[in-house]
Amino acid sequence: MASDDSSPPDAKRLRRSPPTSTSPDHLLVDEILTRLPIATAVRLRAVSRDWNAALTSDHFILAHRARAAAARHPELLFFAPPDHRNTTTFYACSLRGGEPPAAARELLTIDYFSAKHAVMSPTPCRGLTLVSDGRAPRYYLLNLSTGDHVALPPCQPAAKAHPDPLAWLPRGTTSYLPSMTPWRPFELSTTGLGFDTATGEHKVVRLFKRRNGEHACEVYTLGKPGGWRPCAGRVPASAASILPAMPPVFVNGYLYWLLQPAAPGDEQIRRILLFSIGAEQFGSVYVPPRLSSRMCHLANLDGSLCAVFDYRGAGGVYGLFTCSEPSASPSPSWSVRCSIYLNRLPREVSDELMEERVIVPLCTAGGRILLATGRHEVFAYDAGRNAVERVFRMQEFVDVPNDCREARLLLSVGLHDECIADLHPGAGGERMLFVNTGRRGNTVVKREVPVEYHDDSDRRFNVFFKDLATMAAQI
Amino acid sequence: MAAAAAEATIDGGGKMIILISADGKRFEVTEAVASQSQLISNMIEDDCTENGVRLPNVDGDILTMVVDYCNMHAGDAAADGDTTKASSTEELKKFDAELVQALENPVLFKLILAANFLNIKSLLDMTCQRVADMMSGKTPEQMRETFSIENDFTPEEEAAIRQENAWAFDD
Repeated sequence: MASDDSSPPDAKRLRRSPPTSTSPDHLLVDEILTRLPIATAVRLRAVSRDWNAALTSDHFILAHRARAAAARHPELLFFAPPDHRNTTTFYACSLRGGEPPAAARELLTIDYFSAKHAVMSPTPCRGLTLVSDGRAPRYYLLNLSTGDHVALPPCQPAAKAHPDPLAWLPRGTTSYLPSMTPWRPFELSTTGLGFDTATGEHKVVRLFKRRNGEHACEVYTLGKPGGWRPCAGRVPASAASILPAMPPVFVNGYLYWLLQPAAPGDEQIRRILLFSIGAEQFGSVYVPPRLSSRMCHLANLDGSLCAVFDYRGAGGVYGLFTCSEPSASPSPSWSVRCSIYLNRLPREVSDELMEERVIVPLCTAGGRILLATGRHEVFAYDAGRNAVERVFRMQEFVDVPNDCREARLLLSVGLHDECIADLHPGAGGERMLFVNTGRRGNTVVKREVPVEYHDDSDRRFNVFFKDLATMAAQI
Repeated sequence: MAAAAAEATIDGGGKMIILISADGKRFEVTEAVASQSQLISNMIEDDCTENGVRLPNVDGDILTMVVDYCNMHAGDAAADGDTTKASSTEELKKFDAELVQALENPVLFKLILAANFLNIKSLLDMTCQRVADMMSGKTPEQMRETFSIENDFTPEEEAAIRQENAWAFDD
């Protein structure tokens, strides 16, 4: 057996099934090929049939993903504001140790799909991102790393969102505000992407109001024939309170929607609707009343359901609560993840955070919480030192016209997950997007753009009140 | 035959054990050094290192490298909290880089097999990463040459794979 080890790991004998742990095949596939960058791992499929089989096997894709996840620094994903070309271009940039990125790389461009109304799922789900146009019942699943994509089969059109946003927006809370035009309103639908670990299937779940007024839920299982079908469970009455176009958050097998208060005149009580991807049943998450009136966003923070409580208007506090096992127990426990006291921060930063309409947590990086804002910025919050640093501004990488300073819907920034997961078209879905990955190698180097205050009147107003408070304290 | 040496101890107090390569070369190392290998660590626990540890899969020249590596890294686990660690970490990095950079491919592969057999995770990580780095800019043609792999695709099949994943062939 000693003579055997003088030859390199035998690449000819690559096997598809997970080999025994001592064979050279195992070494080559599990220990070496799993360390390759995605582009190389895909390119080397052309080496031979055995290599193609090994590099496209589920075993390899999972192992590659696991290794990448263990070594990974979080990556930001953003799509550039619309320009005259009617396209949407996605970029990614790495945040090593939570440090500001020096450059962003171009991932792909979707032609004939305007960034103006693009809605994307907030976090990638096993390598896939759900992208849609907020005004039409058309949905696309993309692997933003490889450019692989599939257009979902058409689904029935939903009722249009009320053209008067004030009629349904929760008043007094700093929530999102999709820019709606009466002639092309958003659809009264909200669609999320989840993954069923039991079956290994991606499911797209669409909750919407039919044109006849009733609420319905349809599910599309990726790779299964039959297209859209009604979900197994009954749709609860609270589904009437969905926020149009706003995608739900996916955490550990469940989708979560933050609902708007039942009626505009009602107490500002906001509820959380949940949906299990496996059993396809609806439920709700208990939120203590004193929290539910101030809850303004949901997020997946490092694998936990996180609710953003915004007290910035009253007391200058911005809080993150996480929920342990929101789906399991009848009364889940919410605990404070962090509270940011804006008044105790340096003035420049606190002014900036005060102005932001939307602040949503993305993940933890280097011990700091990354917070993305509706104005295309990312801040890193260090709870130990109560310090905030701005680590990303979209303007430093791409042009942001004046009328696009704010995301149309919540955020244009999210997280990127480098992953080889292949989509298997067929089963009703066909490739219909014009995806352009030709400029993939392109990097955009960070450039200096002066920080200007977005809305000077807001700022003067805040400064005025702060000065007033200081004076009052001195009297 | 090696029993006497295996019982020997050094000033540091660590028990010594003898490693014997495939071609009969003998290496005397402390238990602390040797137990970076999970395989040997298990053998030490099971008390079966008394007559020396025979490693029929590992040549003497490869085992020399492995022992050098283990000697350099022996302090790793114990040195937590040591203030001098920062400088030694720098030295270690330099040592590791020089170790893998200088190797010819066949030697590197042998070292990978040895690290895998002896189950030394950090060495396996480092050497496999080196091979992955070398592969990462390569074309399929270059890979076939390096590993002497026969291209068994039909021209149509290969063209289809290249077309499907065109973005990955752009560099």
